[in-house]
Amino acid sequence: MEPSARAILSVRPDGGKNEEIRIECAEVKIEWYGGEEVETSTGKIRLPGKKQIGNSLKLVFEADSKPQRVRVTDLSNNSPIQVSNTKIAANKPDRIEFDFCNHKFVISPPSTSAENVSQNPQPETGSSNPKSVQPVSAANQNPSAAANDRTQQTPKATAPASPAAEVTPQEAVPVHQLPNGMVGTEYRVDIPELPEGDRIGAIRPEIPDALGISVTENGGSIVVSGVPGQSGEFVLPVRYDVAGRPCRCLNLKLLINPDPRSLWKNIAPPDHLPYQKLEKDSSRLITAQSIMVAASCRGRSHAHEGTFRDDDFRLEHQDGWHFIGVSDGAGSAKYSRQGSNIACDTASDEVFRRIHELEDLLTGQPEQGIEDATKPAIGKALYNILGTAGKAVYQKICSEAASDRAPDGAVVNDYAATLIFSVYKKFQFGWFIAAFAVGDGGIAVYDESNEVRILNKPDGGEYAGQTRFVTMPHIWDTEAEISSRIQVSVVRDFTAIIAMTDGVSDPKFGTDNNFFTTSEWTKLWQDITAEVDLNDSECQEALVKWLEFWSPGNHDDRTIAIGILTND
Amino acid sequence: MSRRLPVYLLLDTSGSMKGEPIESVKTGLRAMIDMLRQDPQALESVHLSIITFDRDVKVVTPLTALIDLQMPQLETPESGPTHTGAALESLCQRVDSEVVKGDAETKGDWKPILFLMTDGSPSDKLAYKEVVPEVKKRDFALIVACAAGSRAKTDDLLLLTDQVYTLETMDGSSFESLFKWLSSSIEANSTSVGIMSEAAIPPPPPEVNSVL
Repeated sequence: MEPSARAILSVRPDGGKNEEIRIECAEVKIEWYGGEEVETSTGKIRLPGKKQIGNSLKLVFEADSKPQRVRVTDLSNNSPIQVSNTKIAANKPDRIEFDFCNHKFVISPPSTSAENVSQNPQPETGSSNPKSVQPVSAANQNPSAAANDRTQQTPKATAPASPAAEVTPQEAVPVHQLPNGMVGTEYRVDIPELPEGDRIGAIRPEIPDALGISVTENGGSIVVSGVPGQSGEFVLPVRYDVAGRPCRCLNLKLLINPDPRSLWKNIAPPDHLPYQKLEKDSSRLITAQSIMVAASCRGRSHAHEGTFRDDDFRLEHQDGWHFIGVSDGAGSAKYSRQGSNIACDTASDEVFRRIHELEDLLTGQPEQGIEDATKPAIGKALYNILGTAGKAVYQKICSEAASDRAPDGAVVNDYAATLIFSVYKKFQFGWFIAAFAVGDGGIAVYDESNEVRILNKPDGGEYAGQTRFVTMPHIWDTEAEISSRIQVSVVRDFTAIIAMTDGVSDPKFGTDNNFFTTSEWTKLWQDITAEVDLNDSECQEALVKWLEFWSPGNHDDRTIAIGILTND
Repeated sequence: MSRRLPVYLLLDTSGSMKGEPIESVKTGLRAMIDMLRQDPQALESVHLSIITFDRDVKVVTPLTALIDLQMPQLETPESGPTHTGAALESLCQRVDSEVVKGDAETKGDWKPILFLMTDGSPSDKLAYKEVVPEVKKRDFALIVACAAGSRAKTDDLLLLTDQVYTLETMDGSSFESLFKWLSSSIEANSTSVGIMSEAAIPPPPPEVNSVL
C-alpha cells in the first residue's frame, strides 16, 4: 500500500511565467507549464529555448475554458489520463484543485504579486501565487532531496521561494493496486482487509460513470465491481468512514485492458502484389453419392497486418472419385498463398491423372471386402498415385519459383505450404478412402455411430508453429517417408470426411490426445452442424461464417473441407 | 488456453544505472507494455517476465500474462558488480520451469524471446562464458542484446547472439525508442507462424545501432 510516487517541484529562472512542476509518479512524469500547452514532439516536451527533457505526459491548465479544468495526456498513446476531484473554490474562481496520481494539486493563475508562495499544508488557506502548481500532498519523498534531484536538470531556481519550500509533505493517501480488468468483461474484486484492520462504514467513491466501475461497501469490505467501459490506467479515490475515527482516503489503482476483439483491424492486402487472393472463398460440389463443401477465410492476424490469406482448398470429382484437399501456406513464407494454391490444384490434377490404376484393382473386389491377394498391388498403386501427386506438388512449386511468372528473387521456400487431401469412392465392398498429408492440420473419417479414424499424423514440434511443408526436399527423399504419409480406410458408412488446416484444428483440438479422441470430433461435428446445414445449396456461405468462430490467441487462416453422403 | 509467447527481459540495474538511466528504462518499459496492450495478438499471447541483475539477480516479475501484468518496482543499488552470468543462469532455470513444451497432452508455448540490456560488461565473466551455451540450448526464437551507453561492451554480448545493438545515450527518448522497437519485434513474432525463416524483427530506430 506504500505510495510509490514522489513529487518534485522546481521553478525556472525566468520567474513567474515559466514555473514548472515535475511529478514522478510510479513510472510516469508530468510537466506543466503555466497556462500554455507546451509543444511536444515524439513523446517529449520541448521547452521553449531549452533542451529536451524526457517525458511521457503533459499536464495542461486550460485557463480559458469554463469550467476550468486540468487535462493530463499520456503522450505515448495520446490517451487522456484521469484526474479527479477537480474543484473550483467559490470564493476564488481562479483557483483549481485536483487529485492526480495520489497527489493533491492546487493551481492558481498568475498574479502580479510574487510575495507568497504557499507553504501552508492546507490548500484552502494558501493564497494565490504566480502560476504556481503545488502538490500539497506529496508522497513519501524528502522534499529537499527531490528538489536537489530536479535542479540537476534545470538551472537553479530564482523564484521567490526555494523549490523545497513548495513541496509540502502531508500524510500520503494509501494506494491499493487492484488486479487488472478488461473492457466489457465483468469485474469484481473484494478488498477485505484495509490498513490497520479498519472496518468500514459508508463509502464515498468519486468515479466517473463512463468507467463503468462502482465501489461499494459489503460486510465491512470494499467491493470494486462493474463492467469496465474504457481502457487505461485509473486512480479511483475513495473516502470511507471508520467507526470512531476520522474519514479516511484510499486510492484504488486500476488498469483496464482493451478488449482484444475491439483491436483487430481489417486491412485489405496491397493490390499491386503478385498472386492476389480473395479474403474468403468457398465451394460446394454434389455428385450422386457425396456432397463436398469447403470454406476458407483469412485469419484475423492476417487481416490485422494487411497480408493475404495463405490457405487454400480444392474440391473435385471424376468417375465417382471425390477429392477434397486443403493447404496452409506458411505465414513466414512470402508467396505461400500461391504455394497452397499450387499444392491443392496439382495434387488434384495428378491424382485424377492416375486414379484409374487404383480403379482397375478395386472394381472387381467382392462385397465382403478387398481380397488379401490384391492388397499389395493396391498399396503400390496408392504409393504411385498419392506419393507421386505429393512429389509433383514439390516439383511444380520448384518450377514456379524458377519461372518467369515468379517475382524477382523468389525461392522455393517462399512457397512453403502444408498439404492434406483425401480421395474416396464407393465400391461394392464399401467406401474406399485414401489420404495423404504433409504438415499440421488434420483429416479424419468421422462416423457418429462409430468412432473417428484419423488419416494423418500431424507433423508438430515441441513448440507451437513447428511443422513440415511440401517444399522441404527431404520429405520426398525416401519411399518410407512418402509411404508414412499415406493412409487408407475402408468403411461401410460414414458421417463425414473432414480435412482442415491448423487454423481450425489448433483451436478445436489443441493437443494430439484430443485430436485422436472421438468425443472431440463429435463436439466439432455438432458445432459445425448446429450452424451449417450441409444439405443446403448455399451452405458454403454458412461454413465461411462458422469459420469466424472466436478463440483467444487463435487467429490464423482457417480452411475446412467436408465430404458427406447424399441423402438418397 | 491459447498458446503463450514467453518474453524474458533481463535488465541491468547495477549502480551505474542509478538516476536518469533507470528512470528512462522504466519509462521505456511502460511505453513498451502500453504499446503491446494495443496489439490484439500480443494481448492474448504475450507473457512477460522481468529479471533484474546487479550484485543480485531478482525475478521481479515471474512469467505473467500481459493482461495481468502490473509495472514492477525497479531499484538500483548505489554501486557494485554486474552479475550478468548469474542472471542468465537464473534465466535458464526460469525457462526450464515456466516455458511449456508441447506433447501429446499439452499445448506447447511459442518459442520464447530474450531481451538483455546492460550498460556495462559482466563482472562474473567466467560464469557468463559458461552459461552462454546453456542459454543457446533453450531454443529462443530470438535473442536481442542491447549495450546501452558509452561504457557498455558488446564483445561479451556477441557470444550470446548476433542480434546485438547499441544505444548511445541513456536518456528517456532513446530507451523509449528501444523498447517500442522491442515491442514491434515481439508483435512481429507473435503473428509470424512457422520455422521456415529466422525470427523476423523490424529494422531498429535511429537511436539503436546494430553491431555486426
